[in-house]
Amino acid sequence: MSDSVEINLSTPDKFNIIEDIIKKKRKNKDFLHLTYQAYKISSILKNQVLVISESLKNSSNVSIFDHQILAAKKILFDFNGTGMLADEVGLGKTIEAGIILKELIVTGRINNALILTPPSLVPQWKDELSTKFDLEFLSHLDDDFKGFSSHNYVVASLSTALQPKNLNSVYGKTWDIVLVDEAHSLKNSETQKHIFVKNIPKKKLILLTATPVQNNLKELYNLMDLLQPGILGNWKEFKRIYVDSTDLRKVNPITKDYLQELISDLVIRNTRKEVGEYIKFTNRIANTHIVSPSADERKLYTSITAKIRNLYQSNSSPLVLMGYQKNISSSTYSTKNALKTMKTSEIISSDEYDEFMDMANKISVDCKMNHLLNIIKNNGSKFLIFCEYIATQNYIFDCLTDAGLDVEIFNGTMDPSQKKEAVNNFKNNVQILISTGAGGEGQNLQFCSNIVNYDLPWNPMNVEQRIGRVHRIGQKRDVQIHNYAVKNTIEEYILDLLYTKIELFTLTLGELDVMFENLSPNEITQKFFKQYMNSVNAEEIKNKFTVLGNEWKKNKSLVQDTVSTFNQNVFKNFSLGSVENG
Amino acid sequence: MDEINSLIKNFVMEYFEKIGCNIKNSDGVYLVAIPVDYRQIFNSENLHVTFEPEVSKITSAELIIPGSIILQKILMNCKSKSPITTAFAVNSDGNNGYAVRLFFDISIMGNEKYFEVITLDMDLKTHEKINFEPELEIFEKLDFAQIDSSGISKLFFKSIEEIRKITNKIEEKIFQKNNKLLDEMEKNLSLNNSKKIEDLQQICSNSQSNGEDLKNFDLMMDKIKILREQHENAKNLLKIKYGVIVNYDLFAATIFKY
Repeated sequence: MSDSVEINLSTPDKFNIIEDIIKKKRKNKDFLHLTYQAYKISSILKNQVLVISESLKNSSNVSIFDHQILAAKKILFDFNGTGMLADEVGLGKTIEAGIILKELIVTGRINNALILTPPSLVPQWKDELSTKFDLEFLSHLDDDFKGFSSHNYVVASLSTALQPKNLNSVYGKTWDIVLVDEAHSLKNSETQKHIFVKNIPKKKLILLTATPVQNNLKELYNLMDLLQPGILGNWKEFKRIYVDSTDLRKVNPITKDYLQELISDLVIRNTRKEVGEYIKFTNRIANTHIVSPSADERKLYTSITAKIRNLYQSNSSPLVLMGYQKNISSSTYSTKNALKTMKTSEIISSDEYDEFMDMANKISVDCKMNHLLNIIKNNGSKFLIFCEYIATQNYIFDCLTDAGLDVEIFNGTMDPSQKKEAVNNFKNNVQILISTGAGGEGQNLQFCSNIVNYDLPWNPMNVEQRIGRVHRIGQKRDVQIHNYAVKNTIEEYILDLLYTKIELFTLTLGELDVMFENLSPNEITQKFFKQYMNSVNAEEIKNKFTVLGNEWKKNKSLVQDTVSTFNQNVFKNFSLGSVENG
Repeated sequence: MDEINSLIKNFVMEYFEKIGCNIKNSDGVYLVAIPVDYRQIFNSENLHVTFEPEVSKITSAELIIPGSIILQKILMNCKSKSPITTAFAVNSDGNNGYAVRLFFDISIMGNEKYFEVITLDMDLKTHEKINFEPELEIFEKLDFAQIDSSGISKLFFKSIEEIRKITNKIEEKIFQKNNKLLDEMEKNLSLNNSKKIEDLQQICSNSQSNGEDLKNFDLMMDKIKILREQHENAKNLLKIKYGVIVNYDLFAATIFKY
């Protein structure tokens, strides 16, 4: 039996009423009834529960935690649906937003909603709202999407919504609520994104970000000003009062408490440390496998790469060539597939095609597959294998089933019911699921704790998306991540840069965004390809990737330093406590 | 309109009237002209508000419901007033003496939470609780200066004991629930920790019997020591997390003759 919990009794007289009575001081007699009513109403509101809380707690589709209910209550009852959810990554900001939306819809307080997210998260949002909250949103990617003003519940990418062709449609009605995910993208008030969101006609606004401050306090000011214009005064005043005069990144220690109070009227932040006492977060363990190719594999890779490099240097379309390079790094099946397309589009001649195909046909099993089979066979638990291409998916499927293993597949060509069935089959019957891309977005696969990156997404964001499928609240075991690359291929250099040099796994999605802030996902991958194509030998490639790594590593430490300084100064003792006491 | 919304509407309208606003009602939209002294609170000279969700959908009026920013500002303004008034008891002969009505904002916070406003009438002389709740009417002419309020500090502490008697059952319920949770958490914690320590002890004894390097043995012993310390820290953290916080916050008082 435990020791008893402690009761902490406090009887504050913060208005010095007892002292004033001794001094025979009367005051504010006209306000007695109103003051009494004000406290009474506050008590009733604080006792209020969410209409949907019981149904959510009993739902088998979603696990709800106390901090999420508290955050939703605070936004709904104290902030009237306008505020910032700034929980640290992995604590379920999407769930909190889902609770808020569901409560507002169920209680008839909103009739429409617009969710704006980064492009890659649109399907995930749509799916999570549907599967976890029974809320059907339409996205701009859907066939039956007829424009923003034609639908009541829309999830879209921010970059799509602000395109000139969509502006009239978005501005065409007053949205009951607008929700912006990864809202740090609005941190600069001069940008098109910030101005666009500011101008959307809306009654409520919710911003979601794990990193409300990335470089300096102006960013926080801009986000707060978007939520409630004028709340922090003008920037000049704000800077004078709350920002350290010597460093824009630091809070003025004298006024820190006031800033904290102002922020707590609009911002909720739960930290992993606080909720960690009742939510156990497991570790991510990265296992890097640089596998030596067979002589045939080596010959095939170097021959086709030489051809691609020649074409690259003779100004052929780099994007198309990059696609082929990715294919030949993935598997023999995807290489053969790429060769067929290269021949059809006359990038290679028939002779070259035959020559390369002969080489490919000599390869019986890929070196990566030999290694993977050993790992899976020695481990009875479930494996989620990711690859970029359907050809590679087919290859892995054939090899694993030939080896007598139970396998299911998941890819973008399947309809929602097939996808659901595949996930159920993986959960209940088979040992292995092979998924393309960041497939399975929105699916909860926490019952599996082994991930295999059979080929490597060159875009670091996609790596995080893949891992995020299983490493989330509810995962009970440490997550083993197996990353494959073949020795002396471009993937080996990328793997080394992303995982060894900049320790990708220690970063959160928000931090990744900042680290690569001036680069789109395409630009990141093109950067890798360019360095690789422009190098004549292994040493040169290594040097170029080292330079790239050092540059990003510098960004990384700056981001982490700023975020941690700000957290210590402003968010310390702020988040969950203020929610509970609210 | 449900009870809370009706309560809010009456409260807000009373507030606007009390601070001297000029109010015009047009089909459920109230145009409220704010007096100069209060404009800073609302950052505005005029407010367009409504209490009807349907009206808010077809107009630009701000809907005042739980969570509304305007409501929040009014609540905050009223809650900062801390009135001290004098009164007389309407349904009493006035021969009993003087008493004080204390207004408390109560919060009891554990895993479950409870919030309530409680008033308590205490005799100024005997410091005893008055066992009926007289209806009070503000009476400014009461000679406050002549009333002996020197024992008010003692009376205040006595009033806390009385409130505790009222909230005792709720406090006990929240306390028991937190105790149960703490117990469960501690059991899990101990179980996990024991397992880790057992594993390490097993490694230690294996390395001893294999005659392996003593350095490894010392390393394991250090790890066990750290685990035990971490366990104690975690236990203390849990006790803090599952502690129950009880606040009796005094926010107003009325001295009265009864």
